[in-house]
Amino acid sequence: MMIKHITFRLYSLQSGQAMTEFVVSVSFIFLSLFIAVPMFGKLMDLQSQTQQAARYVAWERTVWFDQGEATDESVISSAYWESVAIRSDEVLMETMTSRFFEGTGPGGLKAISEEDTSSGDGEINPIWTYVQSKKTMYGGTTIGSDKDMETGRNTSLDGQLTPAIGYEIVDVINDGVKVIADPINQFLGALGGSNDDFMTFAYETENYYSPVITTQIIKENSHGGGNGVWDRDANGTWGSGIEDALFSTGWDGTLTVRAAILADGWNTQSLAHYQERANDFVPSTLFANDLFDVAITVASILDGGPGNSAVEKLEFGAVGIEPMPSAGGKPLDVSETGGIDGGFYYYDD
Amino acid sequence: MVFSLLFLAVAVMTLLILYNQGQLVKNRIQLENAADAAVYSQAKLAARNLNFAAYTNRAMVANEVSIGQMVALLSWVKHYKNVGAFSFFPLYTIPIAPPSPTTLQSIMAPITSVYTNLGTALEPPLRKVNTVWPTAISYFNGALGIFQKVFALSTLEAEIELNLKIVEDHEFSAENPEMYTPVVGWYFFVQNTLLTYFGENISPDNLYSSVSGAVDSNSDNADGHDMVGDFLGGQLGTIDNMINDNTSGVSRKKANNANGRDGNMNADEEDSGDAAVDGYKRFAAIVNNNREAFTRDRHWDLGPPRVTFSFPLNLDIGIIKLTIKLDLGFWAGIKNDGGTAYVSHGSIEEDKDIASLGWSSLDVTSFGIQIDIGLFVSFEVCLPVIGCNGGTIIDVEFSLPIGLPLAGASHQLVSDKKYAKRVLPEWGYPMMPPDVYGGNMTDVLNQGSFDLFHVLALGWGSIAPQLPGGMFGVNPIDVTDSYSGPPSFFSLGNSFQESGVGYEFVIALAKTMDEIETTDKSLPSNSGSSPSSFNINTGTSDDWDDPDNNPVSYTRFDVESHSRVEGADISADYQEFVWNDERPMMTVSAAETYFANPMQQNSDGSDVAPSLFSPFWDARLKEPSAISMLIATGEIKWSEIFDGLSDNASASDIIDWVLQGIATRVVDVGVDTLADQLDDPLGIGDPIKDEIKNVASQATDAAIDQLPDFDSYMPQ
Repeated sequence: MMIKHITFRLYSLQSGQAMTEFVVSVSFIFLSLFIAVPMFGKLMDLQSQTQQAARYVAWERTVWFDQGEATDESVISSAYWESVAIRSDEVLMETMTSRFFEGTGPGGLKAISEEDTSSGDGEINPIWTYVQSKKTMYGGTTIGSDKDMETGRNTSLDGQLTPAIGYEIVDVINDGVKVIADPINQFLGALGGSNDDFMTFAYETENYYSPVITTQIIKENSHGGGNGVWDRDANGTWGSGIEDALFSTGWDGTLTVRAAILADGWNTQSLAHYQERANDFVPSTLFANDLFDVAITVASILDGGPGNSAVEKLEFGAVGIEPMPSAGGKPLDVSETGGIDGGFYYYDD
Repeated sequence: MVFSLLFLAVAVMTLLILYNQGQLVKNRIQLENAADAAVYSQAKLAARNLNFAAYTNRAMVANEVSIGQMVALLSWVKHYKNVGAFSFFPLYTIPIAPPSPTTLQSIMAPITSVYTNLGTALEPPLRKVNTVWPTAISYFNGALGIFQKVFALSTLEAEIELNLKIVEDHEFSAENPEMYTPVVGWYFFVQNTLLTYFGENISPDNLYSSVSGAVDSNSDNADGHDMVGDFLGGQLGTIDNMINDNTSGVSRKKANNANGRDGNMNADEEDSGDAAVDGYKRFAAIVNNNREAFTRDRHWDLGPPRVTFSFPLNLDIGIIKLTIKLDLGFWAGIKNDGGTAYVSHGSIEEDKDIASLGWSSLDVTSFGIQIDIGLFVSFEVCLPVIGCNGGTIIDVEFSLPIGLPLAGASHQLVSDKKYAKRVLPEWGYPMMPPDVYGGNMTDVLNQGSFDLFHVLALGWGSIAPQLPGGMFGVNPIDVTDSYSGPPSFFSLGNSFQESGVGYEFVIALAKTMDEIETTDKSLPSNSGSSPSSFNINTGTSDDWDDPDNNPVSYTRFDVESHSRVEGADISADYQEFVWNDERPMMTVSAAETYFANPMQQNSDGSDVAPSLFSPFWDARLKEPSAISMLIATGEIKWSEIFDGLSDNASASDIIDWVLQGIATRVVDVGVDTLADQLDDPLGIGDPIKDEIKNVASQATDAAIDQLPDFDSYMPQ
């Protein structure tokens, strides 16, 4: 009887021990994991989101121009297709924040709209909140402002020269030609016509972007302020919890992602832009000035006077930008005529 | 307790899996972002090259037209100078009224002398302009052609360098780079360059055979023809270069430059010459199409308004109805016609004929009357039950002009006087289609210099004693040889003038998985600040693909990471070679250039055809073609596609091969052409040639010097 009693007591004690062990395990390990696992998940989600945001910021410059030095040639006009999409760096960053970090999160794709440029509702996606403190982890996403210490390239959205030695040839040619072209332009300016870009490659070359995007985690919002320890500290005081401990490694709480893109393919942005770039390498455009206009008008008297004259139709610097003759998206065939041996080629349109 | 431990194990595994997944996803995103950005930027550079060619081609056309303008002005002035000579037309010297010898010539003398004197005064300065301007502009156009070639080479260099820079700018730490371009990535670079400039180096048959073999060994049974067609932009016959280098005498010069590795390019020189012939025919048509109004058509007329009469007549004869319409037009007055055209001396049949392209200008003035007759006769037969049917019997329009000569002149600008026309039939013939030397198809009074109205003027211009040798090129003063010949220029391959989509750019990018901070990583990271890994492993990688030893799926990313090349099959071994690592995380991205002109339309509202005369080329990402994926996975060897590209070539060899080839076969040929065309009175040809070669050499060396040496990784 006694033995049974003792056995029963032992079973009772063992059951209690197991429960105690379980409670201890839950308290010190499982609960820790229940906090640590989602914390890792949230941090990695923010890391992924920052990577996407960095890509977005760089690639948006392939759509939204920053104009660079060509502000007079790429203008917004009433004709839709002749408008150049322009966004400042600040607006572009606001759209990034709005699309990637605010509102209801990345669950649904947001259509590109004017509203992108607003700073949104300012509410950060609630998924990035600390498990314990229930405060947001997200402390904002910023773009670099200095040069990268390692590469020497901009970390901001300031355009840079195409980083290739081959492109330096363009600059060398431009510099050399400008020595000749500048005095000519000054002279022609006095005659009523000039082209500042004459004989130069006036293409926008500062359109390589290498932004560095940084998302800041607010360590202070974690339970315990992010400065504590998991276990007792040197004074024997208990730390504030798991969230505290995660930041005890000395990590500064930044998620930094680098991106890069070449934005401009030099395709024409408007017909005026097209015309100007084609004109740059046509020396006869220099004759398109008041002096020659007067001479042509005088010469038209030989043809029966203005209004009837052939020579009055003479137009120096006539640089055509009309599309190549085609029909149905296919180029027209070239036909031949001329004298007994042919030799004149033309589009039979 | 046991339950607690099991629960604990699951929770820890969850944490590790989450951590590993996060690291792999983070690195995968980084790799793919870098690959997308690099390949897109390569395509952007290629788009720049295409747009640069378009802007400069437009400029070259306008410059050619400016040469034509000077020739037109000289011809126009000369024909006024010749008014005096034309006043000796026999009819004008017949006495027509007392007191004798009053003739038409003497009556017109006060007016003709004014024109003759003005023409005589203006001719010398314009003749001087015609000896200087064409040479200067030809040289300028030649320089633009060289710019195109140098820029093409610069673009290739930039594509290599930019690729490296963009990858560097995606690294977590630029000082500790982890991503790299494997040798298969450099091959992909060459692939696009060869297809773009030397498409004839690829054999569609070889490619189809390779693809068929690879497809047969796969289970998806994809259609090899579809795959080749997709890869080559729908071309299954002869492959087009995307960009044709049109240079006069291109065959000879390329042959001269064909040696060593460059001998593999443009093996069929005859084909490259044919492409140049077609290219220059189109160039001439474009120049002629872009002539401004004065150069193209110098028509004017003086006289009362043209009078027209119309006589309609309807005859109803039983079941037959006849409709007759007679239109008569009458005009009298002075008519001036002229035009200047960019023409060759006879048809351009072969490469050597290209040099005969030059400018010819003709002006002629007559006075007289013109009667235009239009006759239209139609019938209609109406039968019971069957109904009415009919047709047109006669529908003709013709003119009966009687014109007397007042003035005429011509001028030709050629690169060599042997290309000059000498006699009238070489210029044209009466009623020749208008628009060569003036004329407008829709204007009955403006049918150009070969209007029947001017027959006597053209004839008198051939035999007038006051014009020794006639006015059509026998007399040396009517021909100037200050033209240096047509410029070299880039044009778009025929099939691309319809598709408007370039060959794909593909990039292969990788990083070794040993650099990724997963829990099983066995090697220390070189990224510095990253924490060490746990080095958790569940076995050796040799076990993973052993079917008898619990094989691990490629897609299993749990506590252990695994690369495709760690498989046991031959394909995996080959991948290890071409991806240059035992455990690479790999990605392939693709992009393409495309033509889109949203600002202009054809007159019929259809889209404008792509060309290298319109700067509307841009870049976009695309899905890599199936063939590129087969190459990346080692199913197809690149040496089976491109002649002359060895399996054993290193990455440096590959880049060197293609860049040196472009430099020699494109840039040098262009420089040679310019030097040939240049009279070089100042002795500047050789220094320019040397300088451009120096630039090309610098650009090439700059690219080569930056390449890491992958020789030890190459398949043997």
